[in-house]
Amino acid sequence: MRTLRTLYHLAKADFLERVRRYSFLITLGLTVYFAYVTVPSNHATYSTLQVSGHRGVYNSAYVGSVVALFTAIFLAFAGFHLVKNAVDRDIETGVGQILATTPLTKPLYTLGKALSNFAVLAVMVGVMAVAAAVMQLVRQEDMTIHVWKLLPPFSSLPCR
Amino acid sequence: MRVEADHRLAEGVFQLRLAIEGVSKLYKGKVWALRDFSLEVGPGILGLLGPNGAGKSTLMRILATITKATGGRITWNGADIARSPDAVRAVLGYLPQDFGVYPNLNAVEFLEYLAAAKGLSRQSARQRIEELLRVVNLVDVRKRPLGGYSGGMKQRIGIAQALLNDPQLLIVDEPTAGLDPEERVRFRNLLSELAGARIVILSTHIVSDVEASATSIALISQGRLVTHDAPEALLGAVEGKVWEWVVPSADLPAVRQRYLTSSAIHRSDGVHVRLVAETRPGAFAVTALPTLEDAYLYWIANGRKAAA
Repeated sequence: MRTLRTLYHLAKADFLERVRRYSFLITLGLTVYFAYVTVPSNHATYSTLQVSGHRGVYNSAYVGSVVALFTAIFLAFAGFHLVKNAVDRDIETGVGQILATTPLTKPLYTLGKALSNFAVLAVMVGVMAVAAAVMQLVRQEDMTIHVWKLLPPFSSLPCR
Repeated sequence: MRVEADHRLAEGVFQLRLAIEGVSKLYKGKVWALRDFSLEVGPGILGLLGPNGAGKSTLMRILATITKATGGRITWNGADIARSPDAVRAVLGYLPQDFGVYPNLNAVEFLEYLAAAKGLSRQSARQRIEELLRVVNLVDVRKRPLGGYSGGMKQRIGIAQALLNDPQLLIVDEPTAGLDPEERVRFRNLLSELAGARIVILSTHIVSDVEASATSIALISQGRLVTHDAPEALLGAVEGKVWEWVVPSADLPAVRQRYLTSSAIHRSDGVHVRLVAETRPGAFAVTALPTLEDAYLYWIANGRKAAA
């Protein structure tokens, strides 16, 4: 029980420290903009996903799939930038040397950082999923949001 | 905190013993930070005094199990801390010289985080955090991000985190750096209150920090232990060797060069020099009551001579 509590606080502190940074807000803004450009209007001079020269109707399943696909690519770059240096940050801030004097084990510390990374990426994916739903409504080709068709493509992204 | 300390006294935890046996530390570039350093410490406040670069922080880091010694060993109640670091980590509070925080967390969040890392239960962590925030006078700013704290406020958070687990061994490295005079006094009083049923090691180069509270003082210079004794004994060694002497301004450089000078104040009748010397430096020099600063200068100079 105490181990779980330690793990929770490790992940929570690291998560809060990261999501309260301006860099995270900027990344979130970029994420929303990215969702906007991946679902272009009919008048746009580009398209993001076509099969044999045709694109699908902008319904929940199609928009969810397209945005999730490009989110995966986006996270590979911006997401990596967000979650890297988790351990280096503890060295730079000096918090690491305090942790080094506690009974905290290395596996628990590493797991806490991994959980925090997962939570940060999950927040970004969640924002992308909401942005995908908003884009479906903005494009007005299908005004019904089917949550269970929109969300599945996003569900495994934070684990990648 | 006093109640907890008294409780531990009743339980007989006053048998605490930290033994440093021939510890050496060699850094890359073949720089010896510590050489054959031995010391035995019991409950009370040990003031570790020495000039900058003397090896104090290296010793603190080794005691806090962050750095490993190149040679020698350290035991906590008989257990080798290099082999079984958890034996000491469970009861250790450490405030490093360069204490850092997560700037986007507030005081409560940060202390909750470190309390969990130290293995405190939710209930005891909450009580302890409330209590410590009162002790370090940060209750009013407890919800403000730590990044907006002044240096002194951050240092107080550092003191609070070191005390979270009510440590039996408290190691504080240059704790008053960045504190204003009022906070320094407050911190010294806090240390005095904490001492008794625990070992407190206070490393500093500021003599007044240890003057009021230390029960014993270890002087360190160039990585070696110069002496370890009670403050009274250190003062006793310079009894009759501290002089006040009024000299013309023009003679001051020569006096400084020849004697260990602890202060020089310009007045209308000349410069009032306070110095440490084995014999009367001049016909009009008068003996003065030694202070710990005089004793420090004397011992450190002796240590340098011995090392040379």
